[in-house]
Amino acid sequence: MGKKGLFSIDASVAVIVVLTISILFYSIIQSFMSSLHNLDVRQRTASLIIFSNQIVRNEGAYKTNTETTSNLISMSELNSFISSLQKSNASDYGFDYVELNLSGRSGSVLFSSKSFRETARSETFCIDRFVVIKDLNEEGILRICAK
Amino acid sequence: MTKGIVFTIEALVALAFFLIAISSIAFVTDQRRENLPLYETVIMNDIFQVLELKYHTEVATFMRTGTVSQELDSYLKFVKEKTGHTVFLKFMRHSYPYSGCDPYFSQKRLIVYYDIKESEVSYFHELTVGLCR
Repeated sequence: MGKKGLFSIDASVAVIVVLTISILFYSIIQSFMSSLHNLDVRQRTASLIIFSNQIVRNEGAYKTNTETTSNLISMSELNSFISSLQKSNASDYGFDYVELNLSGRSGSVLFSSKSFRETARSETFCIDRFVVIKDLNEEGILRICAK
Repeated sequence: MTKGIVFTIEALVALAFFLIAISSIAFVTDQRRENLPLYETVIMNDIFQVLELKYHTEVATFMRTGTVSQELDSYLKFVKEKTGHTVFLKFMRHSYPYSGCDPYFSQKRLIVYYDIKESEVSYFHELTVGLCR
């Protein structure tokens, strides 16, 4: 048995061990919470990419009877998509708030619309998609923001 | 069992197991994984699609002669302004920009145009499109 001072050696070592274990547990919990946050961000980023693909390649794209041209954006198609989004009051990708901004190369905003309902989320995810605007036959950028 | 000064052997073994488990978890969770280049892939897909829609002839001319038209050059500068990345194009000995590019992401794309070289006709040409750092 160890010699006894104010505390025994056993008690002192036990305190150190308990402290170490507490710090380790705290680090593990912190790491776990941070992983959960990163996972959420990654999932929302991936959802936004798929959602923006849906708009750029299908919903907002120029269509004829036989084909849909990816990245060739028609403003009437965009209008019709955003009004359907407003009527449904939600998107299928888990976003409560969606904002679309279409601007030409000069930077002039050609289309801007929002579809939203009350949301407690504050983090907004945005993506810029390079497109050609069918109505003007000009290149532009479609900025899609969601939260 | 004889007792040590501080802990019994059982306690030490248990502690050792615990420390090994914690160290293993820390090692596994600390692996720095490279992020998948999601945005870069999306940007490249979009840029290539725009090039095909609006600048197909200019790209084919670049692949034939190595010269980039003013319109195409202006569009690629616009992309740089918006993304912060220079787009590079490479086909055999032709490349754009002509210097100062450190490629970090690229894709191979098929461009279809009629070409004849040494009496051999070819339609499909592999263009490398990418982003510089």
